Amino acid sequence: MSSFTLLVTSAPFSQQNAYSAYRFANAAVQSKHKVNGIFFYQSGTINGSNLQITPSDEFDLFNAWKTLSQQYQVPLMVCVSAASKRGITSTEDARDADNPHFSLSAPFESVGLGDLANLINNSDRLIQF
Amino acid sequence: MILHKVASSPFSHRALDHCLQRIHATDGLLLTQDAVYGLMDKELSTKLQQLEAVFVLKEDAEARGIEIEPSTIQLINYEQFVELCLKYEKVISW
Amino acid sequence: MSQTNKIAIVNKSAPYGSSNGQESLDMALAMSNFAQEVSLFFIEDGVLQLLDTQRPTAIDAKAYHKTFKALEFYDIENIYVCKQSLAQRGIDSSQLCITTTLIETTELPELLASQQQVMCF
Repeated sequence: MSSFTLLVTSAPFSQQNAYSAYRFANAAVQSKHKVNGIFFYQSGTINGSNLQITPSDEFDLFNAWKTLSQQYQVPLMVCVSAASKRGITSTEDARDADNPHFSLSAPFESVGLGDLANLINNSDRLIQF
Repeated sequence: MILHKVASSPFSHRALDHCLQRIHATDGLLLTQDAVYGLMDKELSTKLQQLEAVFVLKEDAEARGIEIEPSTIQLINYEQFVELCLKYEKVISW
Repeated sequence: MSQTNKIAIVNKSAPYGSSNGQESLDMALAMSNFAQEVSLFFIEDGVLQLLDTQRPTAIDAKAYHKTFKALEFYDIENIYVCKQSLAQRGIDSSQLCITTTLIETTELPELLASQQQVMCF
């Protein structure tokens, strides 16, 4: 069994990268490997937005991430500094900024880049999408 | 030993070219997403066949209607993609 | 799996048309702060991030290139720039805002061989 950290740097739907990362993560856990975490950075942070509404005839990546996380205990970590600039904020971050709205909720977590360093330290491979 | 992963079409983007300028003989090349369109370019295809290990992600090729003729280029699925990342020491995503 | 990883960050984007350059630098500083050994590579349009004559305030962009001068204080000392990428753009290394190690195009994989992980922006 090997372990992976996935770094997702592009927005869902606009580019295929986030979907590819999801398929990779799914294949890894199916093959009994461990995905230590998916780290969302840059526009990848938009994957965490709980305001996404996917048409019923399209693949719902947002809910697919959530299912993957819950089924296989894969942490979904969203970089707070990259996310805030893009309107992706947790309740706590929104409160700190005196903003009544938030768009990030469990199982997505608001974290710092130090958490990525930890993930990398504990993984055999880092794969960027 | 590095696995070079490319995702953009060589007809519009330079990523594959930049990668090929730097790839080492023992490295692997994996074409994913729009990079699979590169196989439609005969000249590029011939160039790729000179590399030791070229892989194409099956799902991405199939989705785009790209057929791979049996050659030195290997079609792989996502499970094999995962194993490939472990076979090489590191992966760079161009 | 060690507690310190050697991480290569490859910069291949020009500075202001996308956020890649600025967010790559944020990543580099953070990784270094969290005890990772970071090496920076500037190739292709990435070399444009290092031009000394930039004045990003003209487009209200952050002058993040000024931070390159402080990289040594963040313990980031291995900075490599692709010689051919500079030449293609008519840039002489004296026009860069920091002193770097110039490398040939083909040297990249060899240098990456000694790294554990690679990120690309």
